[in-house]
Parts: sequence; structure tokens; C-alpha cells
Amino acid sequence: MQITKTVENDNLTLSLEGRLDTLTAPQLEAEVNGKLDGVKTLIFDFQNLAYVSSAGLRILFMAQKIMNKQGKMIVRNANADIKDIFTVTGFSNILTLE
Amino acid sequence: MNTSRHTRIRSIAVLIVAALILEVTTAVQYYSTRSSVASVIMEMAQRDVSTINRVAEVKKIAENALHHAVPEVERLFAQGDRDSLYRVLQQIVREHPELVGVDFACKVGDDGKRDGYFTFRNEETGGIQDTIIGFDYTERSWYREGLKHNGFWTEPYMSRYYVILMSTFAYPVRNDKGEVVAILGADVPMHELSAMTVQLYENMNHSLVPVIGLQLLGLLLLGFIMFRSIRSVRRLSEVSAEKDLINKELDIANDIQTAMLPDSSQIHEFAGEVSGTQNVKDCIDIAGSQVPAKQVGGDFYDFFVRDGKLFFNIGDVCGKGIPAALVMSMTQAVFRSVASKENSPARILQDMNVIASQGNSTGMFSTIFVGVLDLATGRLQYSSGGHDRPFVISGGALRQLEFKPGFPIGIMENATYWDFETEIAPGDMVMLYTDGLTEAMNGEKNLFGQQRIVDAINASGAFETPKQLLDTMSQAVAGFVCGAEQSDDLTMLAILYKGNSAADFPQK
Repeated sequence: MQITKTVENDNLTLSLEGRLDTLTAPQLEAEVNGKLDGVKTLIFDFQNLAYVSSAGLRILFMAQKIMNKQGKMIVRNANADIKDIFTVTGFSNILTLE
Repeated sequence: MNTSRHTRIRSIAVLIVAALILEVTTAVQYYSTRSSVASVIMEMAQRDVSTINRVAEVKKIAENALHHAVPEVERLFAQGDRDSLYRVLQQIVREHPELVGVDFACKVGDDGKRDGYFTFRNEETGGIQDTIIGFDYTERSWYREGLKHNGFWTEPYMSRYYVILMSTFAYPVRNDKGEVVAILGADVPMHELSAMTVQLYENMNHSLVPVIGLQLLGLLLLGFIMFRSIRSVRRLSEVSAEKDLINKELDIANDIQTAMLPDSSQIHEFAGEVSGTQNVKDCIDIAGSQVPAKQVGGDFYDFFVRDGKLFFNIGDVCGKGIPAALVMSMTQAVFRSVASKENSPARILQDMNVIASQGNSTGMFSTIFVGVLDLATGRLQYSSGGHDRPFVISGGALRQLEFKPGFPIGIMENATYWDFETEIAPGDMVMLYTDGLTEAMNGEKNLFGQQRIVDAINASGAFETPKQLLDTMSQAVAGFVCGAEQSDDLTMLAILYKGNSAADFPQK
């Protein structure tokens, strides 16, 4: 999985490419854990992301919890499969999808 | 695990450093050897040149000495004035310290009579002496070749008189008719050259000392490296022994986990609980299968019968390995405890969620589906905590259970769960699975997906037993992934509701 970081003022965009699963989730966890200080808006761009597994959901949930305290989190361009996963797992209720 | 990697990295670092030092030493050794060999060769070449020069010089002296003397010798020989002739010979030796002696040998005719005379310098006294040549000089190359050539240098030979290596310049003495009548020979010693050679070898020995020292240092270093390597190998084998131990423990953990999953034969144990007229095993048949991606996995399922109801669940803890296994064990225990008192799936999930969420700092959570099947009526109540929709195979038709999804448990303590209800007809089969099935991936990174589940079920027609259904599904997945590495736990649970054949089955 490829993670591209774009910083604009206090906005951080993480563009993910590939699969966010058990194997790649630790990669994203390393980018989120302790690295969101000062970030007001966290944007996940899922344009090129094929799939999110439960391990990936856990990281999104962790990020959401952090952003609930300091700003907002947006998930953009998720494909139909991923939106399905968000729906089935109830994540669509806690995530802001665009 | 970390320690072994650390040790390995350290071993590799030591090897690299040692190899570098060895390389540097070898390079130093190479260059110093090369330069010392080069200087020795240079010295040898210079000596060779000077030796050649010296030899050429000595040769020139010898040749000139004879050339000058020959006319006088020829004249005196023709006159038969032997005394004067001998004095000329003595004069040559005296005037040329480079020569050790001069031979005068008359040509031996058919009569075989030899007439030879040898003038030489006594090395001890320094005086000039002469003597008649006693031996058969006709065998000597200076005589034989001297007759044939107009001036000839012999190959170096060992002198009988001086026991040294020397070379003789032979020159013919002629009569007035130009015929050779005698051979005049100048003996030149080669000892100067011999001495030079010895000195050369001594010098070479000197220059070998640092080279040998460096080589010894290199060997010492090599020995040290070998010692370190052997020690590293020993350590690695210790580490791998530790790893074996961990693997064994993981195998045991896997056994424990497998033992936690109920066996379908356990249905018999619930026999007495339904009613006097019908056994539980006549109402339902259950099959479960689990293939963990790692030695221990995070998937789970469970079922038990209480008060004529089948309580079952299937779930998936996010992630894999030991952390997931720990959460899975806890979830299983909590399900048994909560479901022993609670009949509503939504309330079971709610209670489980509260316990799982409290103090969950790691963010680990589980998707879980809970169902309660009334064995008497076929009424199925269910609730989902973020879990995939189970399938119901009803005759030739296939449907998925519909519901409003609740959150996976362990995320939000105050999450809400909802009960849903459906009728399961006798002969219907419920198939539950984790995302290890829908998200099984083949070599081309395609997912198995729900459509392939539907296709696999439709392709094989009716299933006699739940086990048959699971076997069919396992084969379909195996054929799809075609040897690609299993990335997630694959867990399935199938329940066949046979219905209530006893008309007087007690209704709850």
C-alpha cells in the first residue's frame, strides 16, 4: 500500500493506494499514531484504494477518535465495495463520507 | 523475535567489519608485497646490469691482454725461445689482476704428444708461478673450441686448481703459414658474480620479513573472524531453539482455540434439554470450519442450546495472531456468560459491547453476528455487530438476512443494536461466514466476493448436510485462490434446521 501525505496549513491529506488490510494497516497506524498533533482537518482520499479490512477499520476508528477531539475527519472517494463495508459494519454512521 | 533479529543484525555487522578489515589488510599486504617484490626485482635488475657490465669489462680485459700478447707469442714460438715465451705469459698474469692464469697448450699432433704450460697467480702469496699442464687438455673445451674459432669464450666450468667457477678465453697461436700451432687461454674467475648472487638472496630474505609478518596478521584476523562466526552460528541455533519453543507454544494455543470452538457432536450433549419426544440432534445439524491464516487466529464461532433455543454466533476480531486470539478468547467467554441469561440477540450484543469497550485502549474490536433459533417454531432472531449478512438456503432459493447493522463490539460503549426476525423453514440451511471467505484473494488480487458464494451454492444444487455445504465452499475458495497465500482467517458455520416433526412439541 502506498501512502501519500499532503500538508496544507492545518489540513492533512492521506491518499491511500492499494489495500488497507491486516498486512498494511500497521503502515497507516504509524502515520496516524502520535502524528496528528496540530491537525484540524484529516482527509483520507480513497480514490485508489481497493479494499478495507477489519484491521483497516480499526485504524480509521482510532484516527476518528483522535480527530473528534481536535477537529474533523473526512473520508473521500471511497469505492462501492468500501462503502458497502462501511455500511455493513456501521462505520458509515461514525465516519464523514464525501 | 526482536532479539533474534537484533542478534542477526549484529552478527552481520561484525562479519562486515571483519571482512572490511581483512580486505584492508589484504590490500596493504598486497601493495607492500608488490612494492617489496618490485624493489627486489629492481635491485636484481640493477645488479644484473652491473654484473653484465662487470663481466663484459673483465672479458674485454682478457681479450685485449691476449690480443696484445699473441704476435709476441707467435714470434717467440717460431724462434723456439720458450723461456722468453713463458716470461711473456707471466707478464700477462702479473699485469692483469682480473685473470687467475694463462694457459699455453701446443697443438697435439698425430703422435699424441702433449706440450702444455700453465702460468698462474698463487692466491696466498700473490706471486706468479708456472707449471706443466699435467692433464689431457685435448678434452677441454677451451682447447678444442679454441682450435676451431678465432677467439672463443668457454661456458663457465669448475676449475680443478682453484675449485672456483671460471671461464677461459681461448685464442689460436699461428705459424707464418697461418696454421694454428698452439692455444693461448686466459682464465677468468666468476667468483665475483657468485658473491653477488649470495648477497642478492640475503637482501630478499630481509624484505620478506614484513611480508610474512603481515601474512601472519591476516591469518590471525581470519582466525578471529572464524571464531566470531562459529559463536554467531551457535547463538543463532539457540535463538532458533527459542523460536521452536514459541512455535510449540503457539501450536498449543491453536489447540486450545480449536477446543474452544464447539464440535457438532456436542449437539448430542444438549439432547435432554428440548423435550421428551424429540432430541435436539433431530431438529438441527451443525458444521463449523476454521482455517487460521496464522498459527492462532481471531475468528470465532460458538453455539449451544438452552431452553429449546439454539444460541449461536460467528465473529472476527480485527487483525490476526496472538492479540486477536486473546480478544477472541475473551469474547467467547463473555458470549457464553451473557447468553446464558439473555434471550434477545440485540441485548446479548449490547452487554458484550459494554464489556469489550470498557478499558479498550488498543482499539481492538470484533464484528459479530448473534442468532437465536427457536427449535420448536423455526423462528430466528438475530442481530449484527458490523458483521456480514448470512445466507439462507431455502429449497432452491437463496437469500441473505436483512438487518440494520450495529457497530462492531469494542468500539463505542453506548452503541445500539437491533433485533430482527425471520422464519426458517424445515430443511433450510443458514450459512454464516467471516470476511476471510468473501475476501479470499487470488494471485491476480481479485476477491472471492459474495457473488462467487452464490454461484458455488447454485452450481451444486441441494445439500444433504451442513458439512457438505462447507466442503463445497472450501473447494470453491481453494480453486479460486489457486495456491495464493491465505491472508485472513477463513471461518464458516452452517446450520440445518430439520424442523419439528413431533406435533406435540412443547411450545415456549
